[in-house]
Amino acid sequence: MSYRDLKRVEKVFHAVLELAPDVREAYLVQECTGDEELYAEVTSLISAYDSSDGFIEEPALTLGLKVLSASSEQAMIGKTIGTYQVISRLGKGGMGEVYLAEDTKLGRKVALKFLSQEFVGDNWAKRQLVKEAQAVAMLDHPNICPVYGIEETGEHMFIVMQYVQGETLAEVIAKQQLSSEQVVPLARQIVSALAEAHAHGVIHRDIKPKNIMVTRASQIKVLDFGLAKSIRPKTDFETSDDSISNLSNSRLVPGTINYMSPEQLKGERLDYTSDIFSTGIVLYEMINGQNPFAKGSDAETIATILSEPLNTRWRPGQLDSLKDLTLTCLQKSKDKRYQSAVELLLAIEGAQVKKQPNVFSLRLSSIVIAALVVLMAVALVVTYFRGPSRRTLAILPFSNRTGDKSVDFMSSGLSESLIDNLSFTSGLRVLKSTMVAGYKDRENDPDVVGRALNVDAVLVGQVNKEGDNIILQTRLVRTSDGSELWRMKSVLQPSEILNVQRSLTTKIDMSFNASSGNNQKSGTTDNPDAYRLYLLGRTAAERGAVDDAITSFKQATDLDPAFALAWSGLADAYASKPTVAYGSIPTADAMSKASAAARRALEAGDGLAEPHISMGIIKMRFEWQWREAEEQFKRAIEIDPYRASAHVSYASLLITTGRFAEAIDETKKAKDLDPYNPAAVMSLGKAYYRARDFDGAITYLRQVIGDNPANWNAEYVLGYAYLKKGMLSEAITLLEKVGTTKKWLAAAPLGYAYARNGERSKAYDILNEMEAQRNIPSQERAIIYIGLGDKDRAFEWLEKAYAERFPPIISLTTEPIFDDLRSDPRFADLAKRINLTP
Amino acid sequence: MTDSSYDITALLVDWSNGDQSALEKLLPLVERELHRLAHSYMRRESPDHTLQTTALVNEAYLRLIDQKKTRWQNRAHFFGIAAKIMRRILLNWARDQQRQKRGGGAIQVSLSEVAAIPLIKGADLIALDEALERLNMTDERKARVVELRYFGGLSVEETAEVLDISAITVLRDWKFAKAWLLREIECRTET
Repeated sequence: MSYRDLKRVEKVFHAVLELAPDVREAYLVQECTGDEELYAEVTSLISAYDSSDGFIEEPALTLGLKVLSASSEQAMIGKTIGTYQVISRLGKGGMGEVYLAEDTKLGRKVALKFLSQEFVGDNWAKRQLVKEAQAVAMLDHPNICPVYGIEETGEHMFIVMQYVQGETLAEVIAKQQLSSEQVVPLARQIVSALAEAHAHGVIHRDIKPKNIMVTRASQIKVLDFGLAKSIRPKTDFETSDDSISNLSNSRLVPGTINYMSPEQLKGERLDYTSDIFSTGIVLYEMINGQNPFAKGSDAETIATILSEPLNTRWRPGQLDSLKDLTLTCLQKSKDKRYQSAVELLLAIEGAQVKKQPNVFSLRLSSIVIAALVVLMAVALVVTYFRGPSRRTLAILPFSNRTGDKSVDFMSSGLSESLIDNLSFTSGLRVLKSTMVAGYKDRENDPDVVGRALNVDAVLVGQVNKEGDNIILQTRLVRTSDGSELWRMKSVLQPSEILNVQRSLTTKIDMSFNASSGNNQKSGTTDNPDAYRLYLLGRTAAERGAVDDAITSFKQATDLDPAFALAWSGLADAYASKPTVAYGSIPTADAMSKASAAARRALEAGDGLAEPHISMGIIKMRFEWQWREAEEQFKRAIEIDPYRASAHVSYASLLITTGRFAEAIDETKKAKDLDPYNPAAVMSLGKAYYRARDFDGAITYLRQVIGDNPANWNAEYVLGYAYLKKGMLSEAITLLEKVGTTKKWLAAAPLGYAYARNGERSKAYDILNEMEAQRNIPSQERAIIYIGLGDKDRAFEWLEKAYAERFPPIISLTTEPIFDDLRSDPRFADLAKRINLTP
Repeated sequence: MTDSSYDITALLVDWSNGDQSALEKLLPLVERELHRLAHSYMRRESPDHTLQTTALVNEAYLRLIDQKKTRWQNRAHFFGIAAKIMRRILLNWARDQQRQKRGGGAIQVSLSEVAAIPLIKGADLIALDEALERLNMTDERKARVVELRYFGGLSVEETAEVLDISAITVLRDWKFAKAWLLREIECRTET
């Protein structure tokens, strides 16, 4: 180390290295005569050199690149880009990297797809990203992950997409062996998505399990249209640029070739059948757990896809029909494959699935699937018990294809009431499942409803115009073997509607060997006009037109005073009047009318669930008799444990009395029975909020809004949760938005928020505006005064609400917004008068 | 060609003409390019795609540099900068790893990934870096040879081109430096 003449050391070092080991020592001794330091220096270096095999031979560059790549991913996380806050990385593929982010404006989770680092600044890649967004934007399908938009901020350009929770199909395949019963519904959804894309002239070109998401409800979402091409059908077929000659192209992702069609590998022109081939590989992989072509190297894989006969190794127990259709997809000659996704879809629908109770799979022709496009859909499910085996029938909402909303009561209204009638059959149990407009990715997908509800037969119907006639076409499809049990065509006339309902009931009875569905039970009607009016009332109530509902129910009860269901509908409609949302009528008026109707309902139909629910609501909302209300709800549940509305009503009583854990439990029961029932969905959010689990409420409600962006009710409750969480600006943004359509609903929490946000004058403005309005519930003003910290005024208005017996006053002890008043003795006093424990 | 290519070319020219402030501007640009390179490397890495790291650096260089405007010296500067940045990145990472062992947080590069790369024998990156720094004080050229080859991933010939010396000289420097560094590291480790 101390040796200074480095040049000399170096010279001797290299000279020694060139010598054979056995003569080195002699040379060294000679060379270093008189310079022991030099001798020691060179000897130690030679010895180090001899042991340096492998030392720094492999460049550290590769490690460096890995470190870099990991660190830049890390760097994205937590970043705020525009209105998006990046939460975590979801994955990468093609040219993109996908991150989970929160849209801070809309308060929902989204997936952001960025160009990968190496493509930033690459105009070709940018154009490709725009093309992808455009291609997907054309498509509107429950099995295609929707694109919300494309944005550019600074150096980032990215697609904003729906965040799909779940696993990739690749993960699902790796995790478990799928049975034919599992493969068929998944395959159907994949191909259905493909059919939508093809119908718009879009070839996906990169169909593979990694690009297919499977949600927890087993819903498919096809992703990554990054390589998609739009073509004009029949004329202008594109030439693939993923040909072998381009395999060295750095833009090509390795692994993709495992799913390429022969013509894609050869760089020939591509049409839709290329996607069919790739889908065949996916099908094969779903069935057998592995790719039929993947080999040790790309070259071998390519050779296998191009020219080698498929060497199939089927897992035992799979359906022959499924194997056959997979093989048809995998034909090397594209002319021998299915020529369209629709053709393949029909083949999948026709695949025979063995009888498997409790496993739902639905095979409907694509025409019927298309026919299921409805604005407001009500899926009704009959479960009936016959001997030990339990069977279920789903009645999907009859769709109104006439374009005339006034016949809704004969389409969705009829399908809904049909189930009530069937429920009177001895041993039958009824589930009611609601699907609501706005659940964009669900409303048209009977498969999802079916799976959620575990049914094994489906009744579908469609209302059309034929000349002057309105025609209802119905089909009953047995899902156990996909056979159509019957098909019925009926002419719908308002006066005939009861007869249509009866003949449908009879047919269903016969099909299931059930009986007496048409026996007149107390509480139903045999008056066709009363029945028609009742359907009208229900349809009106469903869409929130409370006054229309009251009119129709009243007329129905006039015609048939023993029609318990109509009385019950009337009671519920009156009971829902005194709320902020529907505008108010004096409580005493609503109360007396609702109570009278509920009593009539009970007299006429004690054996039905509905009158008990109605009575329970009255006991709770108007009479503040918690124990009596509970008895009614429990009785309704006893009569019909499968009715979601009974559980929802019971849950609201439990919330009111502070029994939050039980409330959450009941709500979950309702959601299990009727996953998309808006009341059930909201009930859980309210329960979290009232239980003061604000984080839970916020997470849940954001999810609800993400599923159904038009849900003002969820936004309203979310606004309150934000307030209590101290997230004032979020609350204000959201409530102002609610206020654009529901001004007086949003007014109180908004006033509270302004007041707390230091914008007191805005809060007073709202109070002044309220002054000029009739029918603004006193309780709403109290909330703003709480925000302003004016307890005297707050109590003043709460006392008025009490005096008016405004039903929502029963939330006094559980609504967190009133927490600031708790310490005041006036609070306990008021609570006691409402029969609540302060 | 990318949008940043012109900047980098111009800056390299400025820097080789003696404008030291150009270097400051160059560093982040080259670093960004290395990030990009890293991603493309990570994506392409698979059993079927054996990777030539030098080819990668060259590719990055070609992407970046408007060759008509640059002399070979600029290319040398580029590689020099890239190797330096890589050295710094790895050193920071190694320190982070050490800190993490003591309970701190660091960027996660999974163990399997690290294990797949034969690191330096008998020592870690930090010791190597320190030894290299000492070599730099006695013989700057040898230190640069090591930096370019080990951190920059350059071949003997490329290193020769960059440093404007013969390949034989690079090889001799490399052999000597290896012996010197290893002895240095081992001797330090023992004491």
